Amino acid sequence: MHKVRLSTSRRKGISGVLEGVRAGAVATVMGAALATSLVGAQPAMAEVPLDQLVRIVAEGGSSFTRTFNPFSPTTRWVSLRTMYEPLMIQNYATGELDPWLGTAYKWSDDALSLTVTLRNDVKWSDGQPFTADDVAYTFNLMHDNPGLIGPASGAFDQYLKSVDAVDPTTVKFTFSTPYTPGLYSLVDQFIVPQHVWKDIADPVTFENPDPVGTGPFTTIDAFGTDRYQVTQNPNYWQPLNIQGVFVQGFNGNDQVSAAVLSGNLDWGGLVPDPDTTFVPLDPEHFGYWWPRTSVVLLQANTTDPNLGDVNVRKAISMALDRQRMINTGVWGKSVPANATGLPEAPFKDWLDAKVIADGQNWVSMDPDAANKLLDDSGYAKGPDGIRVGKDGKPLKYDIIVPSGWNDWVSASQIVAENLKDIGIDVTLRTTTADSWTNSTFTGQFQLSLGTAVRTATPFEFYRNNMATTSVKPVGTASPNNQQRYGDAKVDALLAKFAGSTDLAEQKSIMSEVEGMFSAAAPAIPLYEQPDWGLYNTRRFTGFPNEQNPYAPLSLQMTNGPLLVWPHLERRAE
Amino acid sequence: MALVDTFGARARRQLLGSVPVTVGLVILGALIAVCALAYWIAPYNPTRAVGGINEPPSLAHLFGTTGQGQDVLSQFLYGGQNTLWVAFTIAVLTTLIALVVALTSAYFRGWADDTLTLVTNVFLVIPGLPLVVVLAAFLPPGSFTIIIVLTLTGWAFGARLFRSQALTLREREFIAAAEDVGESRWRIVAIELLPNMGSVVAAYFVNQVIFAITAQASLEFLGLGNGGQVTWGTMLFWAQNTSALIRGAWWTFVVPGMAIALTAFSLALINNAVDELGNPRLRADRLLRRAGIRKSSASLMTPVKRND
Amino acid sequence: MYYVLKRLAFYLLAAFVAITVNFFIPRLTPGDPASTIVATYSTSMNEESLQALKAAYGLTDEPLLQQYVHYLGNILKGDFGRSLSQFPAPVLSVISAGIGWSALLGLTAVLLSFVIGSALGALAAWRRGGFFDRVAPPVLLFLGSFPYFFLALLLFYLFCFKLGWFPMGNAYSSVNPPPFTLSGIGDVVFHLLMPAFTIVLVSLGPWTLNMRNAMIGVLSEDYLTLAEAKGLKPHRVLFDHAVRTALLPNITALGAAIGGVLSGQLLTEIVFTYPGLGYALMRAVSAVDYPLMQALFLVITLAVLAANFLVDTVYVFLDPRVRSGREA
Repeated sequence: MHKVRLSTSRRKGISGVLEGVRAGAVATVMGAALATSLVGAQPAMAEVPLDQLVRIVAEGGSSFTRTFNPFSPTTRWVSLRTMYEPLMIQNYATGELDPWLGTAYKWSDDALSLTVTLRNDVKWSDGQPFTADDVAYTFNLMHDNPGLIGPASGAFDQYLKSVDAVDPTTVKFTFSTPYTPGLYSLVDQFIVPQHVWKDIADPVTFENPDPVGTGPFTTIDAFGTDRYQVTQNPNYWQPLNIQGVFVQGFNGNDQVSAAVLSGNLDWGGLVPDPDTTFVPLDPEHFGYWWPRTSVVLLQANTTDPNLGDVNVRKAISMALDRQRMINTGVWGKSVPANATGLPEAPFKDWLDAKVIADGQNWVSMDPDAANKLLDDSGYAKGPDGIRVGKDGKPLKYDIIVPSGWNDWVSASQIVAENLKDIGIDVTLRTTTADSWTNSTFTGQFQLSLGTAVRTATPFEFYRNNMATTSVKPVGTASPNNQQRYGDAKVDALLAKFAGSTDLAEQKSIMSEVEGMFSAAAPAIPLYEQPDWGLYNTRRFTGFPNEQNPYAPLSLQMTNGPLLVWPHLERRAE
Repeated sequence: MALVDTFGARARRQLLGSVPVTVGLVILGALIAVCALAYWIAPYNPTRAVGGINEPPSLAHLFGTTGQGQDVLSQFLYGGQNTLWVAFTIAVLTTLIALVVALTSAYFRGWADDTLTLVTNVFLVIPGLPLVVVLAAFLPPGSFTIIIVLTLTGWAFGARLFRSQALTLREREFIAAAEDVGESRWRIVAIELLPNMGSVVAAYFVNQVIFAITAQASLEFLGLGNGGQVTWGTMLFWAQNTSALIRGAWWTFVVPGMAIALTAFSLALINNAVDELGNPRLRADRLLRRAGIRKSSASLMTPVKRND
Repeated sequence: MYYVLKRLAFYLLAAFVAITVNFFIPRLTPGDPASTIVATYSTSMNEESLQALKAAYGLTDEPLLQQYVHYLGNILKGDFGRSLSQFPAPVLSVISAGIGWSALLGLTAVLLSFVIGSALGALAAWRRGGFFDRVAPPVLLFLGSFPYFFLALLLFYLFCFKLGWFPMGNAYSSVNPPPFTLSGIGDVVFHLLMPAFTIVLVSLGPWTLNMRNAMIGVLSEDYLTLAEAKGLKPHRVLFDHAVRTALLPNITALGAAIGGVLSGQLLTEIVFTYPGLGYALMRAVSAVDYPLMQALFLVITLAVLAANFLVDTVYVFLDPRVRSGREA
């Protein structure tokens, strides 16, 4: 035996030397790459000291490229929140549409024309004046290059006829069909400078490494592989009390928590159970604020014969322990959702109390009632305790959720458990975020959690969940109405809403639609989604919070941070 | 002959006579036994919430509870079943595939050898993790996907290893003698080649179990496993999910980690013993000590000792 | 000569097969990056937007074979396209941002494991049966039995977070890459310590054991007994003869370990937020970023293959049996 080993080791000996050479070869190749990137391609730039910058957590990943093209979906975070600005900002904390680059808007009587007045004191970061020409140019640029993505993408297709600069401070949007909710998409669109973009050959693939914008921070002070800092726009139209922003990439939730708990971040991030892990570390300076501006829904794919039955959906709804989802997933900081599917705070003026009261029973936990409903609807339990559908097949489903979305993963697990108690066999499956997006968007799923896009009025919520216009066939990707439920009556009501400029009329239409949602349960409301936000006032003050809710604290909202920058101040040391 | 030598009675006595091996076997045996009996031993259903959130170990919950309120001890037991059978399956499959490919390649030579070596090399250079992530996105998450994925990315190394072993043996005189005598190829491969590779195959198999356990855990930790299933890897995934360490709930994190480590460690100890079995010189110092000889030289002389 | 040519042909073939496989693997994943992105970011799914974006992304509806031919042509031209997950950055800039750091971390960790492991193994073999030999290998084996991310997270939590002795991540403290000065290098090294240390800790076991076993094998060779009998001092026997020969199997393993550097560091880069390519690769794969995935696979594959080929060539000059046509 050992003789064999001897000769092997001998032979390995020679090849071993060669393996060493091979290792050396690979090492040389990599060493060369290393040397080039370490010695650096860019000259060292002046850096504003870190303690003057607001440190935020906003980007994942750690190999950043210097792409600030606001029309690219994968642009750097700062592009849309410090560099480019929209005409008006929907403030989800106050529910108001705040004027920004635009000061006022006016509808014509036939709702076919919207006129927006602009500020006259705004300059681009390179000193050129900002005028209505830039606004018209931006919209026309998007019209001419359909690959550009922004809030107003698709506007020309659906309702917008033309955008004209009437005079340097007035823009006129002409509609092809009355569509008053279009206001919110149009004023949300960020504006880019005509004098820069007109010379770009292909705006879709333009990297825009040295952006020119109207926003508060447009100067790229320093840019590294996994972090960058952006400092003041010398020509900003509002006074600023801070130097700039420092953005660092993080690769995982624990790393974010570690940075937050050590006080290395000034704004943002999510720490689990902050009442016990975060605030006690420094109660004078550490704080968090989690307002709720959307609802987490359980989406059941209505193209499935059984899930398409409203009784099944309502029974599912009555089996769920919403409070436990709240306790496990968001540490108790939320409330169960109501039967309209709308969150209370942003839509307090739109909610119909009667609909909520009447619908309370199907969104409250009552497993006995759930079981009875299923029994009465003809879904008898099979010998193994699993109910059998009208097609003869047992009710067995998968619930998919992206791994890493911790609160949703917990909630999905609870859904699976609760449904077992009423005879529906549900298995939890975690997937990557992109795979989940693809499956839900194309309708190739059975059960999944979902949430609604934040909007100014409930119009989009009901259109995106109940209208036939938002139903796309299974296999075609759609960000809305993943459950593929459509009711033509809702279409009619929403069209009336869109054609009206009378608030009272709109409210009464909305009450009716809310009632229809509660009756049909196209999606099952679970609990209100907290908007994560925390802050550390050791260096900077002025963050919005529960006592001073002037703007959203969450960094993920597209325009919210713009509202906050002018309020932040550096503490004197 | 070699086969009998490797696994014969004498060898068994020598195996059990080594302390580290005994420790390894005992730990492994205990883990397997306890997990196999999960149905009877576990106090609670592993997926149900049966306690408060993140409760520290107590009499009611010996290993505490998870961020979802589940009993960690029950999860450890049931999870062990899943983890262990998947790991052993992967090890068996990769060893079999590697053996078949290697023996065919080494014995038959020529174009068969060239093709198989090409295939092996291709599998060796394809980056493992990305392939795994792609396949995991493509196939439904769960144990079978993990088995398929880890087998596909794991067999190539063994194939190369066995091939070079087999090539060595092939050139030995006894193979030439068998050919001269007229033994059929298959008999030569099965009766002459294979048994002489016994210790290498055994060592490889044990290593594969270790590889499978840790690779499985890594995949599940990244979220590529099935979150609804209970395995040691998904326990770690959930611990991360509920930020166990940051919140101080170390037991949800440490228990599955220690389970994996103990299993891998006991296997490594056993593997070490298999190494010693193949190379008596590694045991030499122990034998010398037993014989009361204090070594004082650098080089190691193989003692001449009567084996009873 | 004939042998070298045969090996070259062999490796070119393997490279070609690998490139082909690298083309098809990403396209196995369900989903189409452009649809998902357009759908996510526009309020309504616009057919025209989708087509335009697809065109910009380089996603065509051409038959797969035609796309494959274009892909091969582009590789020869050195055009790797634009990354989809970091659109519109070119793939090459994404790769050049991270490759240096991956190489630094990987090579440091592997070389340290090799050196320390071999030294410990030699020490254990030298003092075999003694306290060190009986304690060190099992302890190292036990440490190596933990899944890497487990140890990494524990150590991160203890030393970086709770005690604060080491930075909580990243490759350096300044925003711009540090200058090539003493303090700059020191900063980089300081940030390298924890990530490299965790990798070393987990991998020491096998290096040590292999070295120990190989040493023991070599130490029992007759020629060493002869050398000692002739009067050579023990430590010369150890260093001049035993270690050198016993090191060779570990060098074999070193080659394989270096080959696995790029793709194997994913978990380190996650836990310590190290700006290498491992995490970029993971993100590229889950975002179905065809161009970036393909380019990264290619880089890894080609490096490993090239190194393999070089070694095999040198092999010819050293092993006469190979030259005579027999493979070893």
